[in-house]
Amino acid sequence: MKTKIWLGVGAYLLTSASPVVELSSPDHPESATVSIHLIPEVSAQTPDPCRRGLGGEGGEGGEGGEGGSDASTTPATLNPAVQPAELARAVAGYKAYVVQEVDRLLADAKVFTDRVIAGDLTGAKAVYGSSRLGWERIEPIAESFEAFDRAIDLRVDDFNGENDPEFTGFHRIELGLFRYNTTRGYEPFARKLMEDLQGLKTCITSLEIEPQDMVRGASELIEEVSQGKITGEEDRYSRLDFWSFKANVEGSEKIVELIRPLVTRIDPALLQQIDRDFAEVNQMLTKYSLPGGGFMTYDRLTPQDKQQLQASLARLAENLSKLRGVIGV
Amino acid sequence: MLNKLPHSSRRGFLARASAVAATSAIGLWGAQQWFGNQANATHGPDVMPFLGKHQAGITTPDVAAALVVALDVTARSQAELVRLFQTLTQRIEYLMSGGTLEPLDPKYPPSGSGILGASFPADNLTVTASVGASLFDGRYGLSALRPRHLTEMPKFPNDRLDPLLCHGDLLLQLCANHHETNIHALRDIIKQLSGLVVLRWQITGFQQPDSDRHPNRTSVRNLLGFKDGSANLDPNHTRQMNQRVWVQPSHDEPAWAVAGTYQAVRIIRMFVEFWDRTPLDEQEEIIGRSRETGAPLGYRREEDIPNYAKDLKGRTIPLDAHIRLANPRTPATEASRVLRKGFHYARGIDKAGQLDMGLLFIAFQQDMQRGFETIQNRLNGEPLEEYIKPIGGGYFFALPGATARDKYLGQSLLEAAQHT
Repeated sequence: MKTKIWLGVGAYLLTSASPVVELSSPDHPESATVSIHLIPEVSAQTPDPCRRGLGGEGGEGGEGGEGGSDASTTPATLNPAVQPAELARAVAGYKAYVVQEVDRLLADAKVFTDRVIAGDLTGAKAVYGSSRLGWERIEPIAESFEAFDRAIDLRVDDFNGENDPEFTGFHRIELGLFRYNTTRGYEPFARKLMEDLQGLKTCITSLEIEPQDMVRGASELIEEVSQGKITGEEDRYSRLDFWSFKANVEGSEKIVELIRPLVTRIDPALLQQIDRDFAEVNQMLTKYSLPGGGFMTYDRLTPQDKQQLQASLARLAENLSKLRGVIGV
Repeated sequence: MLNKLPHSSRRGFLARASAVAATSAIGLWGAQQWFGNQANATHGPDVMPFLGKHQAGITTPDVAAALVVALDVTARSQAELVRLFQTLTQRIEYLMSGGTLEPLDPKYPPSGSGILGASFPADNLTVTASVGASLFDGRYGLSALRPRHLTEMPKFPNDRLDPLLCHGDLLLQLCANHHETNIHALRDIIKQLSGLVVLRWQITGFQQPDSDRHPNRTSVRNLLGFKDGSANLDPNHTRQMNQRVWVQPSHDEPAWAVAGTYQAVRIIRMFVEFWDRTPLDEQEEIIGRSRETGAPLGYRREEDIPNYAKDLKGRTIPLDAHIRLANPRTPATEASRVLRKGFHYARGIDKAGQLDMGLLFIAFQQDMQRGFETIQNRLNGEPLEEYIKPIGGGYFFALPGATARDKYLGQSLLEAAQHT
């Protein structure tokens, strides 16, 4: 089995178009000194590693965009009750949050990947859940850089099986730690993950967030939970889905916090609903949290509680989907 | 593009939808003008009346497309349950009437899915709401009000029930001329009820509606190739409906349930490859009818009533033939007759690589035990079982109808709960 995994890595390295690849004997993976260049396909084939895909409208060639002033990010349809300046403040606040979370992501992932590289299986497992929180909080922004999303967070279903050399990132390492109980052979994935996260940070730092992207993000995070997290498919090897779940919800709550003063003025009833929906979801998450921090494994979720969560999330998603209309962005 | 298609080449539904698409493309004014010109369309022959003593969709003539959806209720309180039924009622009435989607600022999600265009036809849509036994657990203070014969559907000897296809707090039976109409209605309802319900299971049914007006004949064949429903109750026969289908005030039932009816839903898988490899004479003996004419074996016409008293040994129609067990045609078994609706279902291929299709069977009766269960218990062990396998469904109670604009489905139940 280990050989297979190693062959997977080897194949990846061999097929990658990276200019910087050192590869030691595949027979001795534990002694491997591997260095993989930052997302090789991207650097080799496309000029812009920060290219944004679906859900990343407004990034490349979108409305406004590059080096715009406040004026260029203020949509003409803005609700008259909203001052362009306060919308700009909310967006700036969100940008700061995104940057803060990507920094946190790098710091947490560093602890995680260092432990993988050091062969500290227990230590790596212990911080897997927390290492991803930054990513999940800013997921709509992070995953809009499609090359990085693919390299960092896609699940095995998006590849040709678990030995597909393209299958990298958090979930590839999760597979090794939690299904095969090993760090061996996963060191290159750990290194590559850090490099990809560095690349992501570079892209995010220079990103200009459109008001529309921010507001839509609140919904997207909850859609993300409703489609992928609720099923327990996200962290299927570790069963630490509640961590990602909670981080998605926090990311959405943050956006609502930032636009709260605007929405209160226009549609306080909607805001009340949204607050109630978040409270319902959080109440359920609290039920599955552990006294010392963190969460129970996802298989503990009862069918009844899952239904309640589904229902609360559906209503929350409906209510959040009105925010763009309310603000007029 | 759609509006360039010649209307004459398409069915009325599509023609209408494309006309709507055309008008929506030129803006709201166009849509209103078009709708104004067609004002009587919303009261046309494709509109099923919503208001009435009984719900629509039970004695309503059969249509081509069905969508049966089981839901679990996640309302947090009795007050929320009331809101659920009020909203549901309002949406059903709106959807059954046909109408126009409310135009919204494009920064909002649109007010409807738009799959039928900005205006949607009634298309003979009926949405029938029923409640399952589980709604009467402690959650909403309804325990004392459960219809007396409403239980969770038991497992019968030949059943292999898939938990993912069984039971539910609430059942919606959507019937229309076209599947798109059912899906349009379901998406609207789900959106409006968000937070109050979650989907539990659903199944799509289809059929060519009965074109034979004779009450004891049918043009409908099931997926075994046999006529199905020849001896069904006549939904236009009010006395029969009152005797066999609708709960009456004289019954030992909670008062709120009067004018409602028990609904049995059974998803019955048919092993059609096996059936198609079975000689015709065996098939006909298993069913008890001629495949071609639908006539009972030994008789000439489909509507002929077999005289089992003259065939006590089953030489003409075997004693265990499906039609003989289902309806023995004796005064004593008359009371077990039910009003049934049948649709085909087809869900792809099973794990064995065989066609997964069969019958979406729906039966309405005054008393679940006297009706469906009595029939099913007679059928247990029939030779047909080798070719069929019930895999899902449930027992439900179809609520009494909403009799006026300001009434909602389930009102009698919820008001009774508030008074206890």
